[in-house]
Order: sequence, then structure tokens, then C-alpha cells
Amino acid sequence: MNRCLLCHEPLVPALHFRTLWSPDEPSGFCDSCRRGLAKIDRKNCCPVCGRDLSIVDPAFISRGVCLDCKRWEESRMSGVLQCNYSVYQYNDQMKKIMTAFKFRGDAVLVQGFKQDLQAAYKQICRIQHSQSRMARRSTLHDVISRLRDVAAFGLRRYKKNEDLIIVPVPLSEERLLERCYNQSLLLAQFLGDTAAEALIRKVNEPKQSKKRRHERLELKENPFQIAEPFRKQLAGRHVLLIDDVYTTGATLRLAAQALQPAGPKSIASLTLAHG
Amino acid sequence: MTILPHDVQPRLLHSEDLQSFLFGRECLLEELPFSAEIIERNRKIGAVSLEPGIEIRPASASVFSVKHRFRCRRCGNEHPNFFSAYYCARCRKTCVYCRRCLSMGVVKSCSLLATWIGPAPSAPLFKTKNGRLCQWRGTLSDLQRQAADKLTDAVQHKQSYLVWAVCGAGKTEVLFPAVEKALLAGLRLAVATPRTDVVRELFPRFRKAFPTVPISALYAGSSDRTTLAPLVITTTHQLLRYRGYFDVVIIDEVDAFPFDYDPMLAYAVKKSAKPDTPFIYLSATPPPALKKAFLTGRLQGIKIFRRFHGFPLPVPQSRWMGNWREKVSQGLIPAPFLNWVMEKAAGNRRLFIFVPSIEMLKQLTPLLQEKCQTTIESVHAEDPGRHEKIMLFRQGVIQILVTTTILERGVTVSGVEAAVFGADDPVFDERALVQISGRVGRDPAIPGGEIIFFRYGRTLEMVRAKRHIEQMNREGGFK
Repeated sequence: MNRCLLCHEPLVPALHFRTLWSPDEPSGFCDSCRRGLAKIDRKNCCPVCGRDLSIVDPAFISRGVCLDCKRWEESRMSGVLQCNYSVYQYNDQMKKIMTAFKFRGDAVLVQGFKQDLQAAYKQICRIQHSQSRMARRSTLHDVISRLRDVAAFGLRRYKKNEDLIIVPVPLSEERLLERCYNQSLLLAQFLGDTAAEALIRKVNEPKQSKKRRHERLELKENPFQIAEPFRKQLAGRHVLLIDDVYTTGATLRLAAQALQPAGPKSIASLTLAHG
Repeated sequence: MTILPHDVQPRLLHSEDLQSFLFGRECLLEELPFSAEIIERNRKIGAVSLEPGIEIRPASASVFSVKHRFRCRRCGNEHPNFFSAYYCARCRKTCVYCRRCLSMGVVKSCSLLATWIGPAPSAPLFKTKNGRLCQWRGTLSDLQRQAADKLTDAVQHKQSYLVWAVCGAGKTEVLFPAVEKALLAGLRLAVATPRTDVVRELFPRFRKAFPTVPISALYAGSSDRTTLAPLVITTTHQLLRYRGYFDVVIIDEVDAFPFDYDPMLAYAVKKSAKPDTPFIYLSATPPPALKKAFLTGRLQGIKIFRRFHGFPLPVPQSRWMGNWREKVSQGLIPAPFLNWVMEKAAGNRRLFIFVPSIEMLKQLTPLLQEKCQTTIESVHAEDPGRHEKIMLFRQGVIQILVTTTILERGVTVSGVEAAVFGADDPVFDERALVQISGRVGRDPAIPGGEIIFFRYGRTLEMVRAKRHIEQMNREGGFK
């Protein structure tokens, strides 16, 4: 019997006409544990960092963008990271799960996020796809490709995005040996087999989660560098960085900055939580 | 065969620091605060054993079997649901890990558990003036005296023993003579209980009674790191860190959740003890297996059905209060319950109010706070301020404490009265209700007090609980 990964209560799948023929894949967490998680609404979030604007004081929002992001755009890191998508708010329940997942070593908890993460990924593919089409304007080639899309009736709508390369944010060697797994890599593995470990973290700086905001932001030297074998692959492709939590955005921007020399088309990021 | 030169004695070879740290315990290799070199040297001379954390064996005897069964060496977990695996960056292959004892640091198939198998450190010995260690100067009642003598005998003959005593019979004091005798004989004892609150209640009492004995108190979040203490007061969870250390294991509140529910804890208790260790069980409501063993004579024991102050147990009354679930969801407090609380609050009595769930606790507490002009607080298992609030309640700063079943046992507050809000909820079984009733009237100065089951329906468990208490009073010699 499948049980909830968090509370160990039996998982009773809902019986629909559809599930009668093909049972749903077990979703990891039971309904009551899932209820504690708050998903971020794509329609009401900061377009740059993916923060849920419904829980932000309106005084900190200007023209639909949160103040943090404005500050980033005014800094020298401006434009390094195109945008960030986050799936959940970093609320108490999420914190609890993250503690178990990252610090207590309960790697299997990642299964509970599989469905939502994959759905978010599909959405990102769609957004990026339409963006790139818009950029190209309406050419004859585009009209033909759209016709082809319609002909394929959605079958190829989510086809593997050849342009997109998924890069998990790495851990330093020491931290990896201590924890034995990279939580970002586990998350990235849900998004296809193409997770490219294109970054290396050289320095073992103190944990970001143990630091305060200004301490996080004042990193002087970039701890990330490109893993040489991947340099060629990155050129001319869209990069999607994967991380567990977006807090100040410092880590992701440093990672994006390290990737810039390889000449990717754009760098965006997807994180599990934002807070 | 090489012969050691005369001046090198075997005991000089092993590290004494490591010995005193590791003796009787089982630790993950990475938890040991010693260099790899020291550990390796001790392993070579056979003083330390390193075993894989997860034992892996084929699921069936068939040669072609590809499935495996796992067993966690630390917590005894064998259930496939409680194992999981990931690609381990340290050993560069897929590692299985145990999910059940994760909170004590992860045990994986590539981690090693260290135990001491070398010579034992010398037994703890105490200097005494008059052959007494116990500084407790109270007197035992006749029944207590009798129980204490029998218990001391049982410990000496290494026999397991059950003390079946009503709430407030003075079980802890009954232990003192036996504990004293065992300590004087150089034995190592554990007083284990499933509840953290009980450990925190017992520790000061033992420390006061045995001021010269090093005692360590272990529960999740305690900062105690004393090694080799001859007397360890601990939650049953923490016993997982021991292996073959104790000569006597005393289990208080043996029927408390989660002990009767979680096989890991039974494994922990067994693992922490030596093979011939006697187990002393203490309970007011022994679980069926122990009760049967006792009644059929397989397990020795004694009943103490009279409180140490000689007054009978308060018998619970039940009072109807209508559909309490609905009332509370409408933001109302059932009138009979509210009247009772107001009356007690006006009479300056301290009250325990037990509710069936945390959700109900969160709904009811603000309602009560609105209605009553006294200090009302609530406590549940995940409350960060739990220990503080209990202390304040004990000191009388908080007058009314709303709580779930976590405080049903082990907590002694003088002059308290109790109400069960929604006693017909299935959470409250016979044992829980008996334990709750046992909170009342424990102080010899205030031996009475009301315990009231506020209810809508009536459950078999409520009836049984009342019958149980009346039965105990009868056996204790009251009418």
C-alpha cells in the first residue's frame, strides 16, 4: 500500500471514471499534507522573480514588479537572469519538508513534488516557445510550423524542447560528500534525462540558509564556474537553472553570471519554493 | 603467535577516551569525535566493531532472486515502506537508507555503526558514609514498602517485574530502594519512558534523591552529553543510541503511546539492554499482553491499588453537553461545560481541560479566553513553548490549561481538577480516560477534586474507564 511520505497515512487515490482505467501515479503526499503547501499563481506573481504578490505588501510592488527585483535591475547584476519561476510559497509546511529533505537526508520526499514540478516545466516550455515565436515575427516558416503543430493536434505541443538545457545548481564538493546528494539535481531529474551538470561550485562558503540578507548579497567572488565539457553545449541555447529555494536571488544570479561567458541565448530559473 | 612484552599491557593499547565515549553505545562513524586513525587502531586490536548500517539479504532463498530485504541495524526497521534509496555521491552507487530513525542522523547502506567490543570500563562505584545513596527522606506507605522490597528482590535475582499501581500511588518512590541497591552493586540502570514530559518530571526527582550519582536525562533536544552515567533517565527513542549497556531497564508508563504502537521502541529497549537484563514495568493501566502475563503468573508483579496518601481515586462523573462539535464550529461553548469552568475559575481552582484533537484545541481555547477572565493557555505536542507553559501552569501562573492527550500522564500538579471536553471522541479510550482521571487529587493536602467527562453520546470506553476506577478503589479497600 502506498503511504504519505510525510505522515505515513495510507494514500487513498480518488476514484474517478478516468482513474478506473489507468490509476494515477501515487503523488507522494496525502491531501491533508498537501493542503499546507501554497502554490504560487502564475497570474499573480512578480514577472521577474516569481514571488507571489498576493502576500506582499502593496507598498513593495511597483508596476507589477516587486522592489527586490527592481533593486536587482539597478545593480551590476542587472539582466543576468531573465526571470525566475517558483512553484510554491516557502511557508511553514514547505520549510518543514525542506528541512527533512535537505538537512535530515530524506531524499525520497522529492517524489511529492514531481507532478507539480513537471507541470510547471511544461508551462515554462510553452511560454518560452511562444516568446521565441513572437520574437521571430510571422514568417512563412512560422506559419507552416504552426500549421504543423495544429496538424499534430497537441501531440507535439510539449515535444522535447531541443533548445532548452536544464542545469541544476550544484553543491560544493565538501557539502556534497556531507549530504550525499544534490537536492537540485534530484529535482532536475524529473524534467527529463537531460539535466546537465554544467556548473561547479568551487568554494565551500557557509550555507546560504544560515545567513542574513545583506550577508548573502555581499558575496564578492563568484563561487560558480562552468564545467568545461559543457561549454560548447551551452552556446546558443536557453538555459533553465534548477534550485530548491529562491530567497534573495543571489545564488541564482551568481550561477547565471558564471554561465554567461558560454554565450547562452537566455538564462531563466525554476525553483521549488520562493520565500 | 607473538607474545606481548611484559610491560605493554593490553589495556594500554586501546584509547580510554574512545572507550568511555563508545562503551555500550552505538554511533554512526561520522558522529564519533575521534580521528580516523584512533578508530582504525582500536578496530585492529578488536576493541571497536564497525558494522554496516543496513543489512541486505535476498528476499527469498532462490538463487535467482533479485529482490532484497533490508534491515536497519540501529532501529530494527524491516518494513519496505520505510526504506528508500538514492544515488549516493559519497560511495558512487545507489544507497539504501532507513527512513524510520532519520531524526537521529541518517543510516545508509554505506554508513558504518561503531560499537565498543573491547574490555568494559570499570564499574561505577560510589563512596557512601553509611551505605546509603538515597537522600530521599520521605516514608513509604505499607503497600509501597512491600512493593519496594519485592522489587528489590526481583532486581537482585534478575527477574522481570510488573508494578501495577494506580495513578498517584507513588511509583517513583517505590523504585528508590531498588535503584539504590543496584547502583551500590555497580550496575547501570535506565529509567525509560515514551514521553518527554515524563522524563522532565522524573529527572529532578531522581537528582534530588541521588545527589551524588551522575544522572543523565536524554530526550530529543536535551543537551546532556554525559557518557557512562550509571543512571540514565531517557525517552525510549533515545535508547536507540545504546547497545548492550544496561543491567536493569525500568520502563515507566509502559502502555503510553507510542510505545505500544511503534515496534521500533520495543526494539530500542531490547537492544539497549544486556541479554539477561531484567525489565521492570510500571503502569496504572498495563497493556493486555503484560496484564495477561501477570495474571497467569508468567510475570511477577505487585498491585498497588491505593494512593500513597490513602485517599480513594476520584471517580469520574459524566455530564451531557449536547453536540459539542457543532457548537464549537459555530463559535459557541456548550453551556454545561462553560458553567462548570466559570464556577471553578471563580473558586480559584486550577483546571486541566483535555480535548480530542489539536484542531479542537485551537478552536476552543480562544473561545474560552474570551469568556473567562483568567489566564488560559493551550499546549499540544508541536507547541514550541510546551515545556514553559507546563512549568507556568505548575507554578500557578496559568490557571486553565487546555491540552490534548499528551499531558494525560506523568504530570503532577497539586490541587488540579480536570475535564474531558468531548469524552465520547474515539481518541479517548479506557486507558487515556483512566490516566486523565488520575491527574486529580494527587496532593495529600487536597485529595479530592472533580473529574468530569463532558459528552454528547456515551462510549463503551467511558463506561469501562469508570468501572476500572471503581474496581481499583474496591481492590484498594474502599467501598
